[in-house]
Amino acid sequence: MTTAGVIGLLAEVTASGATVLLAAEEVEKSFGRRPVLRGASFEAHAGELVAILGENGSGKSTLLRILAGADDLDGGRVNRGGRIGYCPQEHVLYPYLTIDEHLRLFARAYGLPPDVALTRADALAERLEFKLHRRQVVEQLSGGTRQKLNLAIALLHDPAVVLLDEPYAGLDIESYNGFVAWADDAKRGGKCIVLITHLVLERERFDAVLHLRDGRIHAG
Amino acid sequence: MLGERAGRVGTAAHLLLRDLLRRRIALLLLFVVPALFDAVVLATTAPREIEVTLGALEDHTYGRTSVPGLDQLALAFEDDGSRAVDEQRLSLVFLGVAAVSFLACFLAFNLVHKRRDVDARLVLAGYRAHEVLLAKLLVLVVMVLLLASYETLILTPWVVPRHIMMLFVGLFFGGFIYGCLGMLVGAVVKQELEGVFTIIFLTNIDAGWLQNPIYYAHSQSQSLIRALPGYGPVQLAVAGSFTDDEPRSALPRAALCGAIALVAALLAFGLRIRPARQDRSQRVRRALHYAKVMFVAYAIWLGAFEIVGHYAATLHTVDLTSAWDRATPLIPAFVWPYEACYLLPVLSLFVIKDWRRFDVALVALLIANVTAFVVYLLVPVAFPRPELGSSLSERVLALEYAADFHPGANKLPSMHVAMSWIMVSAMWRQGRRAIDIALAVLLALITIAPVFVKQHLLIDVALGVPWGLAAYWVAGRVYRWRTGV
Repeated sequence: MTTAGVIGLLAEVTASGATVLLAAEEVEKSFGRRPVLRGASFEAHAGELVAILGENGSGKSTLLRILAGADDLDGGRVNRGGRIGYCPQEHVLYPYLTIDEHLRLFARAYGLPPDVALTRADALAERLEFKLHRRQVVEQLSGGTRQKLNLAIALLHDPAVVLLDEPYAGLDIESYNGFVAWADDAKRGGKCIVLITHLVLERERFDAVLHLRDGRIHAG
Repeated sequence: MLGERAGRVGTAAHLLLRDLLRRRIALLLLFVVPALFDAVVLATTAPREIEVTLGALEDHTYGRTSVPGLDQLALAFEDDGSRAVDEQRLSLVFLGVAAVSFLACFLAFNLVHKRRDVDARLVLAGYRAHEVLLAKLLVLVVMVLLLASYETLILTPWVVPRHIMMLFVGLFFGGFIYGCLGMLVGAVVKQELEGVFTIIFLTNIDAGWLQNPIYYAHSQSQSLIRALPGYGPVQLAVAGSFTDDEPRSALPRAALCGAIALVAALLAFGLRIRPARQDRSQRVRRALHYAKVMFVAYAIWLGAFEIVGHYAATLHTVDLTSAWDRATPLIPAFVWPYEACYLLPVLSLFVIKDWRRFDVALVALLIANVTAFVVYLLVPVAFPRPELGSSLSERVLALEYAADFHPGANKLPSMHVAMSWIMVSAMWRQGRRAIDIALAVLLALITIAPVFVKQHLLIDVALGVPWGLAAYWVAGRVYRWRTGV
């Protein structure tokens, strides 16, 4: 996206006054001859927590990957108004690196200065409760701790838009509560959080609930 | 800026190496397998002198013969490459290269396959794809240096090599080439098991079997063995260990193989981890589709061309050299326009706008080749090649000569010329006039180049031009008939 495009997007303000931070327009994606997304469109604003629901295989993860810039799209466009933090569904991690080494490597990728990276890593370790395991390699971590690291990598650079693919998977109740508290703080701080979840019971927590059906987004 | 980038690559390389070496099985493989291979050799072979053939020491020319019943051209050896060596020491060196090749291939596969998703995540987070590629390459080189050094160290007391550095270089190239192939396999295959089987298959057949100088000496298809990636490294290691002779062709071959394997590995892995393209136009998608089609078509063509050529070379050949051919001087610099022919298909992806032209070109290539194969089998042509010097152009040309069929095949008509005319016909008048002028100049150079580098005779080229044009014309008619467009 060009600088002018970003400025244009940031200038786009909804009636409620919230800035559009993420916009998908008529996104299309096929795998071979099987169309998965057939013109999916939606907008997400600063300070919003948006849930995407849908049946298994409906294309939720594909949509999130495209929104994150991790997958090619066949048609349409995606506009992003800030840095993206993306947490994939699988634990995409180096099996023989420790938590600290992961955070160091991804801090380099995000271009964070070492002192800032260290402060953020400490804060995330505290909030997501993995500080006891920071020197353990991924192979030695439980599924829940791996998921916390997966999440911490996505949040390390303090992104404006956070895309989370089933972030609760494997988390214990304390960690889940920690995540919910983080999400509330992040919303108040003006972040835009889009997540895929199956926990429809907590739908009152979301500012918008979107359904992905037949390759298109339906509100409500 | 450069320092920052170097720092990013350094951090990535350091941590990726750590990630690889913390795997206990990797360390076990690194130190135990080479020693195990050597122990097996020492336990199962006895010191005794045997005769082997080292292809890289062969020095031969093709000359005319008047012996009745023999071909018009016969092989005359100045050095047939045969040497007497100790079987036990030879086995140690040969299996040493095989062990390094296998381990490097396996480690590189591990470096890429299991980690490609997280590597892609690293790129998504802000690393440049080429920075991750460079980091992986650094890790691979460090691993191969480590392996080659260790293998040299444990071989030296038993082998007592004449030139330890050449032994090390052979081991290094074996590891590097197969390391790159391991990366390639890791980037391409989906399942780990498929990858492991591919690696075992590749390394066993080439480095672990066909490259054995004992087997090579009696093989009926030595040219095939020479074409495999393990050839250069094994020849370097064996010649360096047991002779004072210079294995002339082994080092450039090993370097060329290494370069090709490296480019293929980096391309395949780079495509795996590249950032997503979210503004890809219809044109780019079509070009990528045709690039894939072209790659598959090229692989099929190469296989068919090699099979026909190898068979035709065993038939009774004729020499159609004319007085004009004899009068035409060898100009090695023409090897560059000659090689430029291989760029035409790639160029077509950028130039062609009407993609139906590409379909027609593919049909034309099929027609031109199938009809030419019939002629190749009916009239196998062979002619003597000139002596070459040591300039860069002549070295490149020497590789062309070495890769050709002996004593000769697949010459009349020149497919080099015919296929060039087909590709340029497809690209003609698709863009600006300047492109057409550049194409015309390039085509003219490609057309005359085979004669000046003595890859073809005048008659081959004279027939190649109408062959290509006729095939393109027929293909156009066939395409119109089939599609109605």
